[in-house]
Amino acid sequence: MVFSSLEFLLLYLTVTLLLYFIVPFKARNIVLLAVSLIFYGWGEPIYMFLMVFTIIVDYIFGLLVENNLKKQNKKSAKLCLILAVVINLAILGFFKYYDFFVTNLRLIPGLSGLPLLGLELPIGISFYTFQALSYVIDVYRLDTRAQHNIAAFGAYVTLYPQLIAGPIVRYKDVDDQLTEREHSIPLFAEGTRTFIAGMCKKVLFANTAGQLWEYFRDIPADERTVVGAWIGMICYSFQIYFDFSGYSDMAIGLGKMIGFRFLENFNYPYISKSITEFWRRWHISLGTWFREYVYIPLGGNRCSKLINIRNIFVVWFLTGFWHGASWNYILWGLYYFALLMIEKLFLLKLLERAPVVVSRIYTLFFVLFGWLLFVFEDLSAGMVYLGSMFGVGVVGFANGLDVYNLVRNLVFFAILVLASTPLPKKLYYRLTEKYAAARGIAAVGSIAATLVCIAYLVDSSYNPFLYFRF
Amino acid sequence: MNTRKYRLSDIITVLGLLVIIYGFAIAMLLLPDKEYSEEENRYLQTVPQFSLEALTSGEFTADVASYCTDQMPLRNLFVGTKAVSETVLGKQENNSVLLGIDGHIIAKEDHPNYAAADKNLAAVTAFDEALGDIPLHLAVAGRSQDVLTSYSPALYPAKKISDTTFVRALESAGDISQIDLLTPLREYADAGEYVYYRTDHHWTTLGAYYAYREIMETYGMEPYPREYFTRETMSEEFYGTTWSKAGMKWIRPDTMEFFRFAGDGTLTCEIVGGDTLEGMYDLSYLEKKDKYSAFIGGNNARVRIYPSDRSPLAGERETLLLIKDSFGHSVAPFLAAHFDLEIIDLRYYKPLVGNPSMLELVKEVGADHVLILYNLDSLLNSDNLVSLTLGME
Repeated sequence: MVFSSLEFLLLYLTVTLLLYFIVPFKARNIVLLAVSLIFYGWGEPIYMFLMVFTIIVDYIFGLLVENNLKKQNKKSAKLCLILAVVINLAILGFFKYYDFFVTNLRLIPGLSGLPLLGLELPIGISFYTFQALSYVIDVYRLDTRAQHNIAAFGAYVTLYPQLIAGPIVRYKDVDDQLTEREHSIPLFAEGTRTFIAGMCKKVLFANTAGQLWEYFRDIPADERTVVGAWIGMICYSFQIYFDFSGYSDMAIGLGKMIGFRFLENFNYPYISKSITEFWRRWHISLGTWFREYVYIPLGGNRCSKLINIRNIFVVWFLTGFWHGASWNYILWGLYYFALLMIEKLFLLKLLERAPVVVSRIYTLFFVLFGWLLFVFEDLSAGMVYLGSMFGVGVVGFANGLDVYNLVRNLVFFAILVLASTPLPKKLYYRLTEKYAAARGIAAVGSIAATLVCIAYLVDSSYNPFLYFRF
Repeated sequence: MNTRKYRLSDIITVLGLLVIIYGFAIAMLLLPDKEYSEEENRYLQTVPQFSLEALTSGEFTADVASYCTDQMPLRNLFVGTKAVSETVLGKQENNSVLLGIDGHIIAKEDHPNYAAADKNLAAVTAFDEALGDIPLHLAVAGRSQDVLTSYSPALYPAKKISDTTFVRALESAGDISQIDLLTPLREYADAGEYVYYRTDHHWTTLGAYYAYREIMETYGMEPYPREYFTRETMSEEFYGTTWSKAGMKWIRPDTMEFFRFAGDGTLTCEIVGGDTLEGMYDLSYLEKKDKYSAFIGGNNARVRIYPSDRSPLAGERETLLLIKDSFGHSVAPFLAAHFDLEIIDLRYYKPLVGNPSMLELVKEVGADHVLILYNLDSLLNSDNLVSLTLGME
């Protein structure tokens, strides 16, 4: 189940909010755990057991680590930590990467008989595994106390708002909120606004841009044009940003409705003036996670230059691999490793002195090619598309259809560009802080926006069959 | 809870969301389920049955998702709202339907796949050879987007796309004798004649008449002039399939006519395995949304049309085997003025499954002419002509 669906809005959210708010505060974590488990098991009920297992394992290891540390038993504490990390990564490795490894091992003569499992990926496993890891590690580092209440801990691991697509919430950021959090109308209203804004990004922007991307992608290579291929890739860049950040906003909004304050996950990445800046603005919670739990433990930059480069390499290899069990994601991660190294060496200094337009175009240009690597799991199809963008095998530079598609989407594209910048939000705050009327218009606007989102959701399921007796 | 005074805007925001989600949820659960959607021509998901088996297989959760979208209250209003929103943004199309000029809405396909067309034409070629002396003609009708090129939105290169598609689609037609139904009908449309519906993918009865004329001229026979027929308006409330797909509720309906001629009521229209119609129209469809199915009773596997005072194959008139998609339905009444008709729809007629193969059928009915009448969309998007060759060496 995704947030941008009618069954989530009409069935899941209604029941969840009702249950959550009618029980006394003490029971709310139990409700949260229960409804989150249902959310998790909705697509694949059998995986609920996997989730319960993860909760119990990490709960116990958290306590063990804490106990051993209290007894000054550092070695045992470390052993527990290592065990917890190994178990969590083993589960992730098995469910997410098994087939990838086997497919590659099969290329070795003699191993071609290894069986593939074709397992369905448990939803959100990449996200909640990282959350669970952050918990045990933080307990070990004394950054936080262990959670003794298993319902509260279970609620943290499964918390449905950020289960599917983040943000990756570190335990220490919500520790206090798990036992005590504010429920208020202003906070609920703030959450509603964030949720609706996220829903608009996902349903109105990302899905529509996605349809355009698919339209251009599906044009046979010998019928493509250079302009069409570029419009397509730009559409995909919009799609992935609004999809991901919209989903994060919905998660943050849902969290606020039930009293949680999660950190922002996106900060207008497409206005960045360098790749380095881009990664400070894109999927912030993932970057933070890798910095704290991989980069710094490896020695960060307080070591020799060579080791530092190795550390950066490891982080970007893993960042790529985390995004999916396929070579193109690894390549995508290493692509950013290369770009970041170049910026570190000399380019960043040049970019700082260059006009803003130049540095922004430079950034968007390379991010765009990053998405090309990202979107084509089939690398050869990706190379053909890259060829189209530079005129290889195309029917021409542009044709009448490109003009038509560009003109009819001008308003839509203008909205997407504007929505990628902080301007609308700034304007919103400036006006609503000053004028009550602006607040009223915004409130009515949020209702209208919800209805329009529902209209797009209903339409996407609307499927007239010409000859249904087939 | 906070005790300070709440902002009205916060309360409106919160209540707005809650009223929407709880209101629609309650309405959805309380309102009786709709079982069938005429607009979409399909059965809708009703309350899913829970069972452990359905749950573990994932069927239950999938059905719940379909239930919410299918039984959503005000569903059609929401579909219309989306079309309005897209139009206001200047998109000029919705759900791949072009918002054309003069109330025309036109389903479009910019980059078709030609694999099915190549397979279809290979089958037709093989069938043609097997027929020997019996003449076979292939008549491919244009889609709305091919014929109504002058009604498409500004900047949309309709004619160019259409011509490219036609040429490529018929590339493997080889030696098959063809009847061009695109060029003449496009000319009539350009001249402002009402030859294709504005809201449906079919041609109008007038368009079908022009197609009939082209067919007869190819056969070297004299078609009846327009004045021979009495034009009767059967409905001014025809909302076609394109209208359903587009969601553009403000588009006005089409008018549907029948071209009647003396004695057409004495023809029998026998739906094999179904009812027999006196005359060639099933008027009950005029009360429904799917009005086009009034012509020869709509989509059926096999239909035979012959004078009701005698049995078929009595040999007074020539027999024409019409292999067609739904574009053939409105042409059949014209052809029935000259021929005994054996009409086959290969989407539903399955040769060798309790039915004769197509070659056997040609011999069985003693066909003098074989006419394959398909619109380009069927040729491109379904390979059902392949079953022409089923049972052939």
